[in-house]
Amino acid sequence: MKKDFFYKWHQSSLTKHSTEVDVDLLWAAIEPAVDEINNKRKRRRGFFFFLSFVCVSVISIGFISLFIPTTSPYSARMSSDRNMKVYDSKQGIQIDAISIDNNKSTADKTAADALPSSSNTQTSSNTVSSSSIISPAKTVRNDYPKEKTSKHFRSLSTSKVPVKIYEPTPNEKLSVAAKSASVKTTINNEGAISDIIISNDDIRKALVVTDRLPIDFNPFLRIDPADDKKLPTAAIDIESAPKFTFSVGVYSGLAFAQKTLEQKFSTDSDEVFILREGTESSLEVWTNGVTGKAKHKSGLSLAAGVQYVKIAERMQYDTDYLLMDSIANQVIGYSNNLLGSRSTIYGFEPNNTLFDLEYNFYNNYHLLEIPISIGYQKQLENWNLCARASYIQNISLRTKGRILSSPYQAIDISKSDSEVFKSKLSSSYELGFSTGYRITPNVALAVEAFYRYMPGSVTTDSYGLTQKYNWTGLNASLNYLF
Amino acid sequence: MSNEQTLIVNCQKGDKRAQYLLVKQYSSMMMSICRRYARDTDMANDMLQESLILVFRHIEKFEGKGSFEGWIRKITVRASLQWVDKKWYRNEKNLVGMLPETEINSDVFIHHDADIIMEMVNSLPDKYKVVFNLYVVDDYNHAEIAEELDIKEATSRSHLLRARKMLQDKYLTLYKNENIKKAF
Repeated sequence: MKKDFFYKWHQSSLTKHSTEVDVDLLWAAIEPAVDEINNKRKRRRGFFFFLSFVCVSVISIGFISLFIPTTSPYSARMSSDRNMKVYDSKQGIQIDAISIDNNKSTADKTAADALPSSSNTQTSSNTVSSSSIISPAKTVRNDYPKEKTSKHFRSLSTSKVPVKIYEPTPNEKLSVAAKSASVKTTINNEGAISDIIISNDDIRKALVVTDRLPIDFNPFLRIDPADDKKLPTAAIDIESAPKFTFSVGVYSGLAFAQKTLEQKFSTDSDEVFILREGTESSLEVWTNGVTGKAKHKSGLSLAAGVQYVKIAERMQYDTDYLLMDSIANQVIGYSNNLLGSRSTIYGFEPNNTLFDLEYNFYNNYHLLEIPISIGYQKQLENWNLCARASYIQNISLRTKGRILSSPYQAIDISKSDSEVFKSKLSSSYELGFSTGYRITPNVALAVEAFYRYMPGSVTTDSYGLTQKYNWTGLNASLNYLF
Repeated sequence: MSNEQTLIVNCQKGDKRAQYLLVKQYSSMMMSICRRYARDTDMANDMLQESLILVFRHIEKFEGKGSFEGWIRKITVRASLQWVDKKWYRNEKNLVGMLPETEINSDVFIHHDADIIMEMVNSLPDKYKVVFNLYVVDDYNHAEIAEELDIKEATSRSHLLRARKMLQDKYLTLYKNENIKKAF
């Protein structure tokens, strides 16, 4: 139905109609609901930000883990002067250590003649007739001392040294069993004894050799000379891992701050709020510190240290300012009387000055803090992944620079008696995810992504605005491990 | 960025000062809308508060397409309609075929100011007033009104005609009384 004039006129009149409302009363009625909406929005933003941060960290860690070597850098293999003969029996696989040289076949060669030599890579001449043997693709090495009688004892459960067991070549006429078998201890009359427990799947099982084992016997398995180059020359640590490990480190980080300015009082600080929000912009945040850490073998750690944080901002303001003034007793004119004499007229002459106000400052906030962290570290050979949560206690805050207090005035915040900023802040919190690499046994490098949350304001209670910071950044650290 | 855009952006960020300014700027207009649908002032106040809360809740969804005032109007009308009692429209008879569209001379009503017109419209029965406001002032068509109030389109048309007739009668009565006063 097309609207006629009656409808159109009513529409025009009622659309323009407005009703007086007590805005303050209305605002007071809806303010709690509005606060709730704002808080939900902040929590949503904060959650979304935290989720993004976690996703980026996980993706980064996942990407970095692609470079984690899949083969262990450590391997252990039997000394080349050992030999083993494998028999298949009803009790399972029996392995006797026999001494085999190029020309010898007895097991009573003395230790003095049989120094372990990596060049002595002879295969066993006693081929094994058994159809089932030890694990494929693995060799066993033992850094055996050169004494005649020596005892190697490796705990089955605590040794972290992977034992690489070498796979025999087909030419040796050794067949590989699909499954391994555990070996029971046997003692034969020859006195050559070995108790060897080898598993296909678990490379951490240890080699246990008794002191009655002759030194000079060659392994029955071929040993790849190239493996020698990969193996560590130092003796494998067979002691159990210590309960706690300690480290100290230095770190430096860069972050980008998010500043929040809010008014405390509804109308008093309107102008200052608008001025400061329009003239100040956050730049970078630098963090430098030292930390000491104690890590339990379970992976949990506690760290404490000292750090210095610098928050940088820029204050930029450009305005014109007209100062209107007048000078008294100035000649402003002349008058001629009827007699023709001239007299001078004195009065006020305007003296207006146009000022160009331009402020361009770099404001700095220097924080000295004590961070205390609880973390969990997962060790993956030379790499480690770590997550931490920190409580940070601020010791001092010093400020430097200028902020606007009125359209034509900036105040110096460098003074110690500044009424704007606190000298000590409330505590803040941090979350961090890092990955590290041990470049030497005692030195490790780490890179960390972190998020800092500062719930408290840096301004005093009497100042009309609250000023808070959050930031996300990256830290790099160098740690010395004891 | 214009002042209005700055206001919207700051409100979306949760800036309370900007939110207060928004209330100050648009509450009068919103109150007029609420008064047209409310039975009394208290109901209008409740409608207004709920409308404002809805505006702040959904302000992030405002993408800048179209006028912000128009967007607020729509939210206010929808919020006001939540207070309309759908029971008013049950068991309505279809009277379209029985009621012609009446006309009166525009001189009878054209000289009245917006306050008088608002009073006249508010004096209509609630169920007619709602349909009249939706169709005439807020540009809903009968199909939309029918869907909103859960009535038939024909019912919407008949209520509009009834509202029109009643308003015209009121204007005529007022006009006669004014002329009588002038005569004396």
